[in-house]
Amino acid sequence: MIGIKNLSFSYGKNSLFSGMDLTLGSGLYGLLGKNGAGKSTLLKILSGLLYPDTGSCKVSVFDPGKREAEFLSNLFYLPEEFYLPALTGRCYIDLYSPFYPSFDKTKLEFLISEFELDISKVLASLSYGQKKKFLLAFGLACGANIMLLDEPTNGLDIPSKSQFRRLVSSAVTKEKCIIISTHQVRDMEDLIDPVIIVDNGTIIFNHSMEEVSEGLRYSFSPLQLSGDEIIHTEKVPGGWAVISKNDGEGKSEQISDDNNIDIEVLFNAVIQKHGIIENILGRKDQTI
Amino acid sequence: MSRLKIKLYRIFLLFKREVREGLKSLIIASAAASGFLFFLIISDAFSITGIDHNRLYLLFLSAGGFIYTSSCFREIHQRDKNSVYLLLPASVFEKFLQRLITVTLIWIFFSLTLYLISSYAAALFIKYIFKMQIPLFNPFVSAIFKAFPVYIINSSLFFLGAIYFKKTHFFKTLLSLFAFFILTAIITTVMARLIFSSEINTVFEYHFEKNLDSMRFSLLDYNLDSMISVIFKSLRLIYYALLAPLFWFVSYLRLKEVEVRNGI
Repeated sequence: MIGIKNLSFSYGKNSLFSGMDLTLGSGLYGLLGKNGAGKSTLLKILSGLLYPDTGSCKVSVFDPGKREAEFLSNLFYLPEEFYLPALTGRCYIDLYSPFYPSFDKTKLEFLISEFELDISKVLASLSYGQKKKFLLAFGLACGANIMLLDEPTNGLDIPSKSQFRRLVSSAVTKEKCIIISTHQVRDMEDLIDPVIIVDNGTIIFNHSMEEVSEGLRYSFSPLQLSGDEIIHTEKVPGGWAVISKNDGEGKSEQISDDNNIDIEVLFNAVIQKHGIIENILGRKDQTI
Repeated sequence: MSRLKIKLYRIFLLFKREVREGLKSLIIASAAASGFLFFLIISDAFSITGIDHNRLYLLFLSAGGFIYTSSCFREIHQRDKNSVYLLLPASVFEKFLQRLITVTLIWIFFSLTLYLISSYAAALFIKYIFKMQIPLFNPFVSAIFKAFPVYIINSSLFFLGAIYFKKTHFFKTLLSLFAFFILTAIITTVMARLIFSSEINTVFEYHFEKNLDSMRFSLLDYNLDSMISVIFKSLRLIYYALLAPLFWFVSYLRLKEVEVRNGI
C-alpha cells in the first residue's frame, strides 16, 4: 500500500531523511519517535504536503506529490495542529463530504453520537478536544483507505480516548492502512500493531507485536538484573522492567512474566539498543 | 458519471466551499464596495466634467479586480490553513481553474452587477434629493466589452503574484511590475545606443538640429515606419495572445510546487 524507496528529505541544509526505505501493507501502524525524529514530516510526505528531495514515495498507485483528486479522496490526514472554518458542523459536512465518493453519512451520524458532539454548533467555537473528535469522526466516515493521524489522542478526555481506541480498531480492514503517530503510547497499547520507530531520520524498528513477542520477553523484577540475555532494564514503580531475549527457556525466580509488552519500555529499549534488538528479531528489510 | 462530469462537479464543490466559507467577508466587502461606489458616483455627478460611468466602472473593475486577484491564493500561504486547501480532494488543475474563473469571469460579472446597482441607487438618490437627472450606466457599450480582455490579461500578472508572493501580494506584484518596466527601459536604451550608435553620436556633435535631421534621413534607410509597425504588432500579439497564458501556466506550475512548509 505504501512504498518508500531511497527517500531523502531536508529542511534547508538540515538533512532529516537519507536513503529511507519503508514498505507498509494494510494494518494499524504506530509511528513512534522522539521529538524532531521526523514522524510528522513522514506523514506530510505520505500525504503529499511535502516533497522528498530524492527517492520515490508511492501510496497505493499514486505519487502523493502529484496531489491527484483520486488520491486525495482516498486519504484522510489529521495533523496535530489543524484549522476548522467558522461553520457549523452540519454545514462543514455538507460542504466537505461530497468530495469523498465513499463518504458514509450513516456512519458519521453514529460516530457523532458516540463522541457526543453537537453538529449545530460553530466548529471554530468548540474546544480543541471537541474539534479533534469532530475531525476524527469525519475521517472515519469519509471512507479513505489511507488514514494518517498525528497525535490523535492529544487533547481528548479519558472517555473519548477509549472511544477513539474502540472506533479506530473497528475501522481496520484489509483495504485500510492507518498510521498513528504518537507520543502517548499508553493510549495506544493493544491498538497499534505493527510498531514503527523513527530515530534521527531513519526507520530503526518496524515489527509486528507477534514478532516482538517471539523474539523478546518483557518481564518485571523487584531487583535490577544483569546478564547476557538481558537487553534492557528500566526503573518502573515498584521495581524494574526487563526486556530480554526470548529463547524459550525457563526464567529466573525473581522475574515475573507479562505477556503484554509495554510499548514505552520497548521504545526506550529500541532507541538505546536497536542494533541488538534488530539482530534478535531479524532484519526483514523494514518490510511487513 | 464520466470523468469530465466528475471534474466539473469537483470544481462546482470548490466554488460552493469558497462562497460558503467566505460568505461573511463577501457580504461585508460587497456592502463596503457598494457604499464606496455610491459616494464616488454622487461626487462625480457634481464634478465639472460630469459623470463618466465608463471611466468609473473600468477603474472599479481594474483596481478592485487586481486587489481581489492578489489575495485569491491567501490560503496556501497560511500555515494553519494551507494543509486543508492542499488536501481538498480536487486536482491541482481543478483548484487552479476554479480560482482563475473566480477572479476573471465571476469578478467581471460581480463588479458589473455591483456597479449597476450602486449607479442606479445613486441616480435615484440624486433624483429625489437634489432633483437632478444623471445619465444611467449602460454596460452594453463597446468600451466596456473591449476592457474585459484587457482586464483578464492584466489580472494574470496579479494571479501569478498571488501564488508567488507569500504576503503583501498586491504591492509586491506592483513593485515587480515597476522593476520590470525600469529594467526594460534600461535594456531598450542600451540596445538602441548600441544599434544606432553612429547616428546618435553625430546627433550630439556640433549642430544639434542639423544632425537630428540627418539622423532622420539616416534612419529612413532602416525603413523605420515598417520596423516600428512590426515591433508594435509583435508587442500587441505578445500582449493579447501570449502574456496571460504564460502567466497562467507559470502560476499553475507554481501551484503544483506549493508545499505545506511554504506557509507563514
